[in-house]
Amino acid sequence: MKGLNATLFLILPLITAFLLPLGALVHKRFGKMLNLATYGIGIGLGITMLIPTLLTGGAVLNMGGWPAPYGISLYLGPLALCSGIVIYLIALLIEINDINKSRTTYYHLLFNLFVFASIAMVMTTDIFNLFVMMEIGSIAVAGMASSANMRMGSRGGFKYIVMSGLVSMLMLAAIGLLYSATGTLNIAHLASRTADVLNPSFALIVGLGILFALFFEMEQFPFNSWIPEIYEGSSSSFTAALAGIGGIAGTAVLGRIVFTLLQDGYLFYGTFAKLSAVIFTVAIASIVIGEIAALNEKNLKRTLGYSSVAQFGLILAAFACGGSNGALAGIYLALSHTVAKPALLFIAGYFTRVSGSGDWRDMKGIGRKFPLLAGAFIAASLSIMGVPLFFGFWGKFELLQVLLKSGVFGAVAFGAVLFGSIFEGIYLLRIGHSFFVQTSKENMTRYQPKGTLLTAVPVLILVALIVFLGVYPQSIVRSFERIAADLVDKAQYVKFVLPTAALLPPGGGL
Amino acid sequence: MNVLTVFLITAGALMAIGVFGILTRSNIIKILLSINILQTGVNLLLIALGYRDGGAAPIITSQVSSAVAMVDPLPQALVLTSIVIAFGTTAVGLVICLNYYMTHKSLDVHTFGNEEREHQQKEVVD
Repeated sequence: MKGLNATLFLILPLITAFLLPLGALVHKRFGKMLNLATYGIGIGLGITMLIPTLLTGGAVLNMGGWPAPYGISLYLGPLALCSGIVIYLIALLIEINDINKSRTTYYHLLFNLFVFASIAMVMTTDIFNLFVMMEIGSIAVAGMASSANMRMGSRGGFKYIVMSGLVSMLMLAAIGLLYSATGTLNIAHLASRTADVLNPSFALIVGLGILFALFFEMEQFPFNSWIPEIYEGSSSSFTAALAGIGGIAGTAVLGRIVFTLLQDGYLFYGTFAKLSAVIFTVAIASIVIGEIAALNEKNLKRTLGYSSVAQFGLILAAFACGGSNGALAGIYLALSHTVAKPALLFIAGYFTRVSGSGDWRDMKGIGRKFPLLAGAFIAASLSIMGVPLFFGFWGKFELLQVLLKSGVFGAVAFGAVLFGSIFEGIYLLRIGHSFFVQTSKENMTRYQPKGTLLTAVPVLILVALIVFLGVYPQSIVRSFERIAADLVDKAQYVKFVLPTAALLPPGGGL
Repeated sequence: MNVLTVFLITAGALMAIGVFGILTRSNIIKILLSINILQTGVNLLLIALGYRDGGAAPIITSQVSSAVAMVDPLPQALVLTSIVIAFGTTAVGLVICLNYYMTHKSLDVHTFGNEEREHQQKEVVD
């Protein structure tokens, strides 16, 4: 029964994806109802598995009965399950926001493939399997890039395909090289090697090949040229998925690779310092460039896209510090961003629809007509900025503490985080202020409500979470520490995924 | 020059051609083809990494016992999967190229000027 629950937790969106075209023949709203049921059941299954996992540790699901490293194993630890539940929750809120919008069956199909790929990415223990899931996710993203504006979306989608093609080939080449040197692609098996140390130059090439693909997943500079067009060209719901679901999945995978494979692994012994410098550099560049680009942008959804670049940069900086404090800061930041950014994007989409323009300067006074949504925008913005009493504060607080203890790179990143927070304050509060300024009567009559309730429900749920977790962080701090421990405790991970590690032959496949 | 060296040189050349094409072409179909050439190069690299001089096909038959040196079958399985994924991404890429052509009336990446960018900003998107 436990195995069945775990399997269903993973493949429910996949089953739904391929039922949708058939169901659409029966009833045009079949897809929406099925999606709501799928994500609801997914959350339920996740919670039933998460509670015992938090108490007793993780579990492993060997697909087809083949144990690791011979088959594909899925690790159901606190991090994977918590990420999976959050992915289902965001997908459910997106679906509620989308109830009255006309979406094609193929849009729903691709969206479910994206959800499936994201969940599989956080659960898999095999690097090649991870590569396959990242590619499935990329296909879904490229397919949905034109969901709202074909002209802008086709350009963004093309940029995405090109960048994805480049980085995925780098990752595939790195995977091939890693296999040629070790004879395995299972993360736990690679991490458990005590007899082999890769040549430092070779290890650097392999590490960078894998990291570049993860930087792309996390929208990091210079792999993010597709951001403006995709954020503007696709629907606000999908951009919410990209920021929320893609962000949390990318964070979980990056954390697993950095902490389990690169930081403490014997294979990369002596190389992590160089890789950490690269991660810090990319993080600092992303924070600075993302915030400056957001400050200069006038399109609301693009602004939020650039803001995501900077936010993911913070997570990268946290992981580059290493250790349990770095992991904890990264998890706090990832979850606070996953809660706040979809809320901002739902509101951005709604205001774009109501005002008839994507430019935030054309939304003057809109908050006087929709005070609840504009107020929620400001609350979510304050969380992104890291203001006390909002969820985002705890992540930034933890990050700043850990950066101060992380040498020269940490000090530079510390400055970049403070610089970024000031810039965030300027552009987000400037937008929030424009929502409430006095405007002409013409404008006020132009803002006609269109399905406000369906946007307000998911937004208010997310904002309630932001405020509650900001005021009472102690309600989840134990769980977060447990998740961080799951991320950094390599021995525990190897014990669960590879109980027969001692019996496996050491070293070189070829 | 042994077979492995030929494999590796060819893989490197294909990857270099692919990256060169991506960086220098402005026609989006040619860029997509360059990505495919790059993918072929990486696939060949994977095959080369599993190659053994004089190795038999990795299938145990009445003539070939498990004691005989075989080429590594795992890279071949990886390459098969990689080819299928490349097929999927190319199919989606071609659809995007079609959309691009329908909306821009051109296959050139430089079509999208600042004037159009300004025009796009005013469009309602959700």
